[in-house]
Amino acid sequence: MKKWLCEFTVDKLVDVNKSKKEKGEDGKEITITRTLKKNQPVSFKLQKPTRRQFEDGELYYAIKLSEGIKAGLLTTAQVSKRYENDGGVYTDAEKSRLRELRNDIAELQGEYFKLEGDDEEIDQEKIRILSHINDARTEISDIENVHQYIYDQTAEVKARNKTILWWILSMAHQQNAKNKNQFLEMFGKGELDDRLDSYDRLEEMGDDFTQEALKKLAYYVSYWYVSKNVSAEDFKTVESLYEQSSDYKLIEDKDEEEKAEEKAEEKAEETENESKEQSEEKLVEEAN
Amino acid sequence: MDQYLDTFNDANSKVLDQYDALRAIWGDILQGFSYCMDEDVYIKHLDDIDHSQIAKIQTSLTYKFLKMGVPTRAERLDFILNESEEWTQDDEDEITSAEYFISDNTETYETMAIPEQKKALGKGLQEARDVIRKKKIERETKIGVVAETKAEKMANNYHIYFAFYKDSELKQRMWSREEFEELEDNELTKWIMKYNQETSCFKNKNLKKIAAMPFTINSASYCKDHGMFFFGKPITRFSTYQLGIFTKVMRNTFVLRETKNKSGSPEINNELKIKDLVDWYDMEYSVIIAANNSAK
Repeated sequence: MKKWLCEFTVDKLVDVNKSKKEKGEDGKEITITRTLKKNQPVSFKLQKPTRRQFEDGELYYAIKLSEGIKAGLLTTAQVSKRYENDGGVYTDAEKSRLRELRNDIAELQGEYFKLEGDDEEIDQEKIRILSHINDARTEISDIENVHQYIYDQTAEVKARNKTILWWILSMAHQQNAKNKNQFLEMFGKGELDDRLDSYDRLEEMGDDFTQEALKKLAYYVSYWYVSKNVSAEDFKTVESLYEQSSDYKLIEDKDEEEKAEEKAEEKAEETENESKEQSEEKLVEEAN
Repeated sequence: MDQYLDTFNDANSKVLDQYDALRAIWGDILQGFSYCMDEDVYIKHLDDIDHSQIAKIQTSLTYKFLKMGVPTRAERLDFILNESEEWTQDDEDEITSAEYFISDNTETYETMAIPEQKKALGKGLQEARDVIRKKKIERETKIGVVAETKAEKMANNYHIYFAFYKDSELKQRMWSREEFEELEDNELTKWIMKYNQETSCFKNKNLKKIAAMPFTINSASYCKDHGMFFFGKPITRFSTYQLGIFTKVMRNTFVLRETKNKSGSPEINNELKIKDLVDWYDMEYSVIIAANNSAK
């Protein structure tokens, strides 16, 4: 019996037949069927890994790290050391700016703690200081982030990314279209290479829905892998973070009734606006 | 049982205070298993065959991992020492010198009489142990996952598989091999804790005390040093604890036969302290061996 870590959905456009009964020219009742594209959420689940899977995942990382090193990739420690020997990753201007900002923060913190009392003026001053500290910190992290890329090509990062993919292939399950209560291995039950082939095929030839599902899976699994102990509550946060950054929006077809409803709403809005304008005009006239 | 025995200070505690608890441990050693009442399960005391099966699992796992491409410990250690230089000879020397400090001073610490001096040396020893622990964790973290240690860690879990039984005849295992391998981490941890809790009383300190008790010494004297008579089975089928007791009690019967001490072994009465009894055998053994060596 599989245990699950979390569940999420991805909207999919599916063909839905809408039938409508009308009277034909000869007065006989006929049924007109239209095929419309409608949104249907499809569920995905991440399997809670077993002890054996955790062991396998650890071994997979070790193998990929070793392969990377043998292939000539530098490790994080080697990259750090190399940059340290060359005077670090920052330019002279960046170094001086970082020094300035760190000094500013230290001074501002000193000023903040010297402030005593709780009158409005002091409160305002505290807010001003805190906002300066925040600005300085943002600038520091902006400078630091620019240099994060130097670690992107290290053996550890490459091995980590491959291991995340390994976990996606091991954990991802998709709702069975024929039996909604059943979840099947998204990339099959076969050997790793077969599952990897299946992933590659989906990535290359998949439609928008499949691309979105793979993207969302990668987001969830990466978060879980990096954060380790992730609770159900944390997964809710992951969902909202993902939704904020996603640009996946589906436009579904509207049927006759929905169109009519929409039209009615538009008309009602127009009428409301017109009456508002009229009453405003009336008020202006009266004022004159 | 162990928690109860730990409440005694052997230097002051009387033999008769610990007698029943030690006899209860001896009973478990004799029958070759412990009964875990709260789970209604039996914990087999593993023997050489079990240990060799675990060693076989470890060897095949190591081989499998190496074939998969998992690096060896030597490869990784060489890499962090000579390539990435995250770990240096100075780090290694720090561990070695702390280890020397402990081995050079532990015996002195045990025999120290002045409390202030003992406290100061005890602090130094603890600091050395902390350095070793910290540096070794740091080294293992930098080495990462390697074939040998991963295989060792995984094979160690099989102690649980080989130890737990549903019946006192030790025929019905708690799990099939497949079931055991699919156990969740928290379940396995629970059984490891049970195992450690139930077997912690079989530590060397307690085995030494048991081997000095009349209930073992007498049986050993009757069987005339023959393990087959002592436990009723070949020595190769002794559990680790049975073997531990056997070697100690055989030494003690040897001491009783060979001692030139006219007053004989200490009499077990209301006054005899457990430490004095255990020390008497150790001391007499050293005297006999020294005498034999000088006679050569």
